[in-house]
Amino acid sequence: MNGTFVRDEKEDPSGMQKKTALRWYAGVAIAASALVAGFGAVTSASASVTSSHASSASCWTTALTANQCGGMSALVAAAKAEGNLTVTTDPTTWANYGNIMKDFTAKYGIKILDTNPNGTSADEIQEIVSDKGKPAEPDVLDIGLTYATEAVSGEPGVFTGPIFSPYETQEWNEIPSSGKNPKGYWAYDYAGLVTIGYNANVIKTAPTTWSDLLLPEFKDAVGLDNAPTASGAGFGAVMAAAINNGGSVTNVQPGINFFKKLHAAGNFNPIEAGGAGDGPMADKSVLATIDWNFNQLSWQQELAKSPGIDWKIVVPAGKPYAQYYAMAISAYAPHPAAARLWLEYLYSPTGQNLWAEGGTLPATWTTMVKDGTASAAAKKAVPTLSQAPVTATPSEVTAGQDLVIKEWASAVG
Amino acid sequence: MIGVAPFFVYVGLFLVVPAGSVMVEAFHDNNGRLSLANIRTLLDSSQPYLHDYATSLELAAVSAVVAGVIGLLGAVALVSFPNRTMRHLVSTACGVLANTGGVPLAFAFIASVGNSGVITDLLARLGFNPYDHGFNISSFSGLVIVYLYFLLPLTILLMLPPVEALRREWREAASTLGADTRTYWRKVGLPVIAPPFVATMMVLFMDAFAAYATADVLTTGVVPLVPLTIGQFLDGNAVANQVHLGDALGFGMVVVVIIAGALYVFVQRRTSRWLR
Repeated sequence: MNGTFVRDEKEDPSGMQKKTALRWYAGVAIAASALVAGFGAVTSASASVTSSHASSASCWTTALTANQCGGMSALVAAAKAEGNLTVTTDPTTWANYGNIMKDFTAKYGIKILDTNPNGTSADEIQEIVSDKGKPAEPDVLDIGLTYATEAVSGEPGVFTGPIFSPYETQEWNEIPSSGKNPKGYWAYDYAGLVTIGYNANVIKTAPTTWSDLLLPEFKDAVGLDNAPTASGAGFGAVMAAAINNGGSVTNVQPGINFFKKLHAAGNFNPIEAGGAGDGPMADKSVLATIDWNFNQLSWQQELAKSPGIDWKIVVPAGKPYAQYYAMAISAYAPHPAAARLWLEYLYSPTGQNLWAEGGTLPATWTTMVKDGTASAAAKKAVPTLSQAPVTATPSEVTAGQDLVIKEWASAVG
Repeated sequence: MIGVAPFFVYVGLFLVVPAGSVMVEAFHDNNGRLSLANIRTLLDSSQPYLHDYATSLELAAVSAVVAGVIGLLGAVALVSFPNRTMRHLVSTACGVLANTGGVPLAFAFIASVGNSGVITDLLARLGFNPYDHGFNISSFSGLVIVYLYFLLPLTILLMLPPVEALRREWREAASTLGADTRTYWRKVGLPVIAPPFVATMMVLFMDAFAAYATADVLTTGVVPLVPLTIGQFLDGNAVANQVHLGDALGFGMVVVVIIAGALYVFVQRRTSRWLR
């Protein structure tokens, strides 16, 4: 019977333990990868001896700006010579990444590999550290603010920061100083704007205010991307609820209270809405979601294929809330030039417009609207707001998340 | 010896090392120093973690008892079924179903008895919408029902051998001595079955206690369970720098599983003494 015992301790042997097993075995993965990294360092050291005559190539590993290594044309040439770019946790349905990657590859002939499309911000940090020196090491990160600051400061006992390589794109000065690390380790890339999506075929009242969600018509309807204790979009919904129900970005409790009320009214649907693409919305188990506008837009496009579903998006009255993600380059990027070109591309009007077309608020959006570089398609996808969105700094986000971790279960449990 | 070496390497790498590292890391703080701070946080009643454990233990216990009782009746019924083909068919099916779980299982239940599931729709059309009568798949009782899907077949699998081992002669001897069916079960059947039954419940308990992905998809924190909390610390999008607290929570789970496992081994010994 011992075999049974071992198996059961490891828990139900099916897809169920995939994620858990990952966690349990993370320790082993680190240990094993340390070994592999050792070998990797040896082989890459010998490789760099043979290729080091291309002195400009090594220049890019530490370049803070394109000008330090010969300017944009030198960067494009070096990136093309590398030929590949490794990204992680950039699903093609997220923030228009599918089109962005296609366009980048078409433009520069650089192939993009996403090593872990459905990862989390925590996974991204893990990958930088444990894939160091291996081909799977990501070049660039699109990551939650809490994790971006952690990657710079380090996590005592786990890794020493910074594990990012600083780089300032040509548009660096257009990003407000609150939206970037002063030493260039990361910068805001785009923000998710919190909007409400709903199935207009079932729900006839457009939820134009937060209190509309408490109406009986929304019984068992309102879902979140995932629990705000584990998801950036879920947390964004709580923040948006907070600032529109008597709280602020530094007083998140009213947001938690809003969901407590929503749950007590029987209107909160605890199924993970963002867990399987548009699945929960397509089978009508989730009839409304509070989520990033770019997710709503992506679902809207997908759901257009599902008969009988009319997914509408509204910006609820009150203060709009937007939360930024950050872009950074791994300190151990195997393709340092391609990584830097990717950033230049993403922050150029082309990249920023594509992000906006996906329904995000790109970091340089205000400037782009002012100087006329914002495209018509982008302007169509970004919702018109009555006022500038409220945003939270990385430390405000971290503090809010700490509170949600403590209070969420007792509010909705 | 060389033949089993790969097994020991496997168990060492994928069970002993990770479990050991969880136990070591649970007693370190964020600066890598030995510390009881994580354990203290765990036991602090102003924190949510004790409540997580209570919910997890309750869910595992309720699921195990319900699955155990129904599964035992199922096993007894199956053994008394005269057709052996049927028995093979059911036990093979149980072998497959006991290993069903995770996200696919969650979606199967959402599609059938979710708020707009096929069965829910059917019942609603017949005038009884379970969602108007307090039922919800994303709740404690909902999770018990979902867990039964893999725990029941597991019970039948584990209880078939001991139920089959009840010898016909014992029953005949009992009735010769004047015992009716009830007396037979009370004095002979149940006492013999009891140790393997308790052992099976321990296995069910551990299985339900550690299940993760199904609950993750269905509940978004509405039913606070320890594995989900560990998940948010180790693999989330919201919390950084709390890995050691996650390890401490994992350590607590290891302790619970060790206690349940020890109980399992203890009763299993008694079983083998009876049913040789």
